[in-house]
Amino acid sequence: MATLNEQLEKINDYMYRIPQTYKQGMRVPGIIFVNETLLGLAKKDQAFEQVANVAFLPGIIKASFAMPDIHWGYGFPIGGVAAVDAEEGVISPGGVGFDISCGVRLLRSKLYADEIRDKLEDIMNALSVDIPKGVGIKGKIKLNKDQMTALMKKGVSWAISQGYGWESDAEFTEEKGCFDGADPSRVSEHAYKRGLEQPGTLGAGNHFIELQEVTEIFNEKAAGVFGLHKGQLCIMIHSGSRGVGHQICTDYVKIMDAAIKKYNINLPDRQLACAPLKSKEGKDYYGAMACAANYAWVNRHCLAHWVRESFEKVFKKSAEKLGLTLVYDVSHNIARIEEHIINGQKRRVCVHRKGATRSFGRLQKEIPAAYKESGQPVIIPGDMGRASYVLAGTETAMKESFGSTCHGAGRLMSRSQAKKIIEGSRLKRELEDRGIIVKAGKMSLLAEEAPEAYKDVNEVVEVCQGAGISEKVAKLRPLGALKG
Amino acid sequence: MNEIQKDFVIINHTADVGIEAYGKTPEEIFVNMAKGMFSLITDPESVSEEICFDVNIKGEDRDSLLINWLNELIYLYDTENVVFKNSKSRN
Repeated sequence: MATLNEQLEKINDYMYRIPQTYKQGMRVPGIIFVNETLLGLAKKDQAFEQVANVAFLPGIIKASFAMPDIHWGYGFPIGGVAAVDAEEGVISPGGVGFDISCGVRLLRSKLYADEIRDKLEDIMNALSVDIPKGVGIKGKIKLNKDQMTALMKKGVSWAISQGYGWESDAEFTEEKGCFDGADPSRVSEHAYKRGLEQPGTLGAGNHFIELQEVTEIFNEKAAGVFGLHKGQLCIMIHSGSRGVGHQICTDYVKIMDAAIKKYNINLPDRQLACAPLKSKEGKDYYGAMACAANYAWVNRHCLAHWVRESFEKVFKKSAEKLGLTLVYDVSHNIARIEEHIINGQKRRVCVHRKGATRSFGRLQKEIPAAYKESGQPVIIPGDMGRASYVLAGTETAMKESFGSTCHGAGRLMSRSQAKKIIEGSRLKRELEDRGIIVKAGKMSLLAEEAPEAYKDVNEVVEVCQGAGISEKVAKLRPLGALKG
Repeated sequence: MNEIQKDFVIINHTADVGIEAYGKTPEEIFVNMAKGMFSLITDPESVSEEICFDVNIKGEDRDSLLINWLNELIYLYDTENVVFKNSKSRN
C-alpha cells in the first residue's frame, strides 16, 4: 500500500490533500496548509498521520485541517483544526490540548524602541522581579474556593472587579474575556487546588513575555486600526491556563476514554478520546474547558497588569500616559461553538483549534467593533531570535479553514534534542550579542527554546498569506525576553 | 542479552518529550518512569528525601494506571511544591 507521503496530493502551492481513501474510516479528507519547505519538515514525524486520524471523528465537516506550523501532538497534531457538527459531532480534549486556552496578548505603547534603548535592561530587570515565573510557581494572588469559582465563571470581569487591569481590556479580549458556558461545578477538586495560587503566573516551557519593536508594516490601514506603527515598542505575553487547564484535560481524557466505549466510537488512536457534544460527558467537558479558558484570560490579564506596573516603576509615569493599551488577546488552544456558512447554509459547529488561532474576517460579530473593518488581530509569537507577527483575519479563512490560521513557528526539534546540541548560557550570550536581553529562570529550559528548535516563523506566515487564511499586518523583532 | 543498566532514557518527541523506562517488573517500570519525569524538572542529585506521600491510584488497564500514576505525581508537585526522588509500590 502506498504510504501517506506518497498519497499526498498537491492542491496548489500552499495546500496539500490527504485523500479520504488513505485510511478506511476517514469521514473527510485532510487538508494541510504548507509550502514545499514546510511540507518536507512536517513529513519527518507522525503529524500527517494524526491529521488522517482526526478525520475519523464523528460529525467532522469538510476536512481535517492542519496549519503550516503543524507538528506531532497528543492525538491531534499541533496546528490541527477540526469543525464538527454541533448536533451530531463529538468534542475531544486532545483537540484542545493540555494547556487549555494557551494564547497570546499584545500591548502596544506610545514609546519608540530607539528612544528607550538605555532603559531596556531596567525594564527587563523590573519584569523579572514582578512576574512570577517557572514551573508550578506560586503567584501573588491567592484565592479561596469561592473566589476561584467566581474567576472561572466570570473571567476577565472578575479580575477587573478585583482591581487588576483596565475596564477597556475586556473589550479587546476574545469573547470579551468570558467564555460562554463556563460551569465550575464540572471542575474537579484537583483542578481547583492547582488553580488557587497560580493566577498571574507565567509558567515555563514556551511561555514568555517579550519586549518587541515593530520593524515592518505590511498593511498600513489595518496597522492603523490596531494602533501599530514602525519603531513602536510593544509587549507580547504568551501563557495559558497553568495547572488548571492541565488538570481539566487530564481529568476529561480519562472520562472520554470510557465514553468512547459507551458510545461505541471507533477511533484509530486512543488519544483522540471524545464524546458526543450532546452527551453528559461532552457537555461537562465543554463547561470545564470554558472555566480553563476564563482562567487563562485572567492569567494573561494579570500578567499584563504587572507589566504595566513594571513600566510605571521604570518610567515614573502612569501606564495610561505610556499608552500601554491592549491590542488584542487570542487563544490558540480551544474548542468553540460557532456559526459558519457551509455550502451556502448557516450551520452551528464546534471548531477545535489546537495550536491554531481564530482568524475571523471583517464584519464577523465576534470581533471588537473597532476592528470590524480590518478583521480580527491574529497574534503570532515567533521564537526568541527571529520575529513575531500581527496578522489580520480574512474572509478567505471563513471559507477555507473555519476562520483559522497558524499559531506560531511550530517546533522543529524535540526538547531533549535541543538541550543536547544547544547550551543555554551560550545561547543567552549569542542573543545578547544581537541586542536581545534574556532573563531566564533556568538555562537548560532556555536551550529548549532556542530559535533553532523552531521552524522559521517567516515561512509559516508566508504560507498563511499565500493561502489567504490571514494577512500580514506587522512584523516585530524581539528586544528582550523573559522566560520561565 | 545484556542487562539494561539504565533506569530510563529520555527520548525525542516533537510534541514535547518522551521517556522510556526499564525494569524487571511493572512496579520497577512505574518507579523508573517517575524518576525519568522528575529528571526533566530538576537534577535528581539535588533532591534530598525529606517527606513521604501515600498515593492511591486506580486504572482499568496498565496504560491508564501508569498515566494516572504520573498525573497524580504532577498534581502533588504542583500543589505541594515537592519533587519526588523515589517511590515504592505497596502491591
